[in-house]
Amino acid sequence: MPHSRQQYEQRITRLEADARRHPAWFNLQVALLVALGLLAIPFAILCSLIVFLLACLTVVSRTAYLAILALQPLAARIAAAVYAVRLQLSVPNGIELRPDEAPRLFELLEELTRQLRAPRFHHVLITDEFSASMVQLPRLGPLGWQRNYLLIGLPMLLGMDSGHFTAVLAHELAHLSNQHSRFSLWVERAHQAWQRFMEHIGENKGARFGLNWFFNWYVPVLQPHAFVLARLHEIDADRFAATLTGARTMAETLVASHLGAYYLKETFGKGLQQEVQAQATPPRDLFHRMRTELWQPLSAEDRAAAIAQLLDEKTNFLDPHPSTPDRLAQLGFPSTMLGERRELPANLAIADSPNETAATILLGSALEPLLATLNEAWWLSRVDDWQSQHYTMVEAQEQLSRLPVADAEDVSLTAADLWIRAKAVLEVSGPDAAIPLFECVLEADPRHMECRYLLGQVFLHAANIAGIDHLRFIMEYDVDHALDACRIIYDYLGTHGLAADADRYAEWAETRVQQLQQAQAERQRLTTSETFLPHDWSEDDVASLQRQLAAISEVSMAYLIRKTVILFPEKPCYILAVMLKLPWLTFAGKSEEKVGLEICNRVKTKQDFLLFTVAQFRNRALLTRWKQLGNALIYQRAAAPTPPAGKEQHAVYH
Amino acid sequence: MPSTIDICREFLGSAPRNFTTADWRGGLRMPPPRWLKRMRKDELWEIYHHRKELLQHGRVVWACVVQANEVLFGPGKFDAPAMAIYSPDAYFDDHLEDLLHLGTRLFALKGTQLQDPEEQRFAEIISNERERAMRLRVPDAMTDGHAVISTSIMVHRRHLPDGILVKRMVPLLIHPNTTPATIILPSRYWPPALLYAWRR
Repeated sequence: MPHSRQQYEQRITRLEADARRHPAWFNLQVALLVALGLLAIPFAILCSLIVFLLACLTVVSRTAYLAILALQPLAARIAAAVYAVRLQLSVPNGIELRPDEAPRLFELLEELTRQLRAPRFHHVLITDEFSASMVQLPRLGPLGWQRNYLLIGLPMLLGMDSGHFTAVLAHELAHLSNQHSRFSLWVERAHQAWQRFMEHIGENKGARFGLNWFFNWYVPVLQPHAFVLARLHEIDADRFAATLTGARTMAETLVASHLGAYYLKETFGKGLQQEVQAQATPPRDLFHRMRTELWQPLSAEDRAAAIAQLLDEKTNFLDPHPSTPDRLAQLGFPSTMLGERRELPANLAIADSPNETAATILLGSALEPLLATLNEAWWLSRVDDWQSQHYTMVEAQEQLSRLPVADAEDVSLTAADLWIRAKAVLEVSGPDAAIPLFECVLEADPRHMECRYLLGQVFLHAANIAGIDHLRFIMEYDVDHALDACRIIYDYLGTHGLAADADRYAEWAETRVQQLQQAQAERQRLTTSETFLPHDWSEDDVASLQRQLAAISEVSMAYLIRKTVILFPEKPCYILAVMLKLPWLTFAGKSEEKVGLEICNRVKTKQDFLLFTVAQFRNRALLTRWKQLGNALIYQRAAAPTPPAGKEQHAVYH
Repeated sequence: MPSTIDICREFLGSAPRNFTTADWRGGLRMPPPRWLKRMRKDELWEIYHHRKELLQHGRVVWACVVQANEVLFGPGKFDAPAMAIYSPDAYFDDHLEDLLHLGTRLFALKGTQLQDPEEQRFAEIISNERERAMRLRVPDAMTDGHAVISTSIMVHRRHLPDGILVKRMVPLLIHPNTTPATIILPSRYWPPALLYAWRR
């Protein structure tokens, strides 16, 4: 059972090799796994039923208690199974295109469908991405009767000629023709069904009996199989499409698709990003602009960079598509080495830009309305984020202009001044300009955690491993952000092919989670054997807290103390013990829990605290000790009742 | 090409509108949530007293959700209230971005103490999430003189695509001559561009 990323990757590599050697056997294995998963749920119910019936038999001679005990897991399993089966798959998002709107596109689809003997598409949806895909959704749930959706990205139609676009369609139809999606859907269904089944059962021990073991074995075995299956489907679809359009056209399509995607992301996308600073709202003509720009040939610089990126691409364990060089090699166009430099095969002609785009030919008069609709849709989907980014940048620029003119090396600037400047520069001018300033902040204050955290992320975003050192510092010295820092490093290493290193961080995170759980338990303990100290909050902070507590009518008295802790002592543990005055009939007013949540939501303080709400405070010994601390009693409502004597307490909130 | 809000109006049709029984029982149904039934004096009842009128005679305008009960941002069963701003002024038909920016500025008033009594009133309403204000004019100083109204709305999940509140902008049905209550235009009348943007 693979537990770590490395084991998972090794397992996929091994399964991939097996699947290539014996594809039929591999498919059978997956089918058996799916069947096992789907049959295991009714089997689990059957087992519970047998136990229940056996318990019923004993009722006559003993007591009904056993039967009732056995009925509960049976009911829980049946309810969970119903929930698991009612899996709703959402309809893909896109603008529906009807056959009468774009007859040439539908004629082409019909022709390809006939040649590939594939089922027809019921819906063609236009999206705003540079991609094409197909989705099958069963109308009758587990009983099938598929509805087929073809999703076509308008940018892809705008950036390719009709020959290359036909190859893309052939690839998608090959998935449909070979029933890839239907098979994958069953795998997904088995996976989801178990996830939902266990989720619904929750912590019910009786219903979980025997299932935990199966679930922990089944899911990690099914996942790599599903991944390898998806990858084989991609290779198969490429091969299938190549038989229809020719291997050369298919190979050229893969390269053209990469060049288009590169241009949109690196040149078009970055240009758009620069507009955020200048304009308060996104442009309303994005797709018209895209049409004009994708029409132009790529600059020599862009083209060289895009091809270099394509050749550097490695097959990874996140995307079931093999890398483009691997897909080209499968089609008979392996990249060649020229000295130390990798080159595209010389016999592969790559056109600079299409003479006439697939959009013009295939969409005809539907193109203009589609461009307008997607312009509007993109504008509506982006306007909120764009505005917020724009005003953050404007604010940063204003802040920057208010700061005194000074060099980053200016010794009179404190770490705090430099930090404000660095953040503003990051917003306005980007990471390259901000990095020297971040480094100055750390020179002035090496323990500036926020700066290290941000700098670590900026470095890793630019694939500079210096970021790991900064994040490791956070892991060591900043309790609150250590796990986040660890996750960032783990993700970075995992996506850069360093699974073994990533696993070390995963282990560290597991240990840290255990330590945090222990620390939490220690902090939540409130007995007379603990050591308490006076709080060290400033007068202003206490006054602010008092004001906020006074606004909550149920609060009658509040104590603020500091508790000594062994685990993570660098993070002080403050306790806010709040005495409440609640009506004795709970339904007549708020419950203790509700007031606790209200305090958590409404009270804002600089320091974190643990809240203990006490409807009737009864631990006199604790109270006496806190009173001895001097500044512990921070709030007392006028005419508050005298706390009655009694024993222990309370509800805890974080 | 007509604007998104114009297409919403076109899809809904001109007033007075007639809906079939199937419409009322199906997509247009908006029963009050169970929790509201226990609060008979809540001002949100105004919405349920005038829901038919709003659908039959209401006008569609853009609204910006300033704040909403956080359960609405994820999948769930319960309908919940929100605070929104809208304007009967046609200026905002083509300037939705200004309404959204105003929404951001109003939300920023939360938890603040202000000198201006009108702005302070707003700050209090936004800070106290339980307070209702069915029709409250946003101070002119914040709106460049345009009439912008703040209102409490009920977000009916069945009227949103996928039942989740994912964006701040919504088409709203208003009928200011009759009632301060408003309702979100059911998503069956939303144009494809808005549906696509919402689900994106």
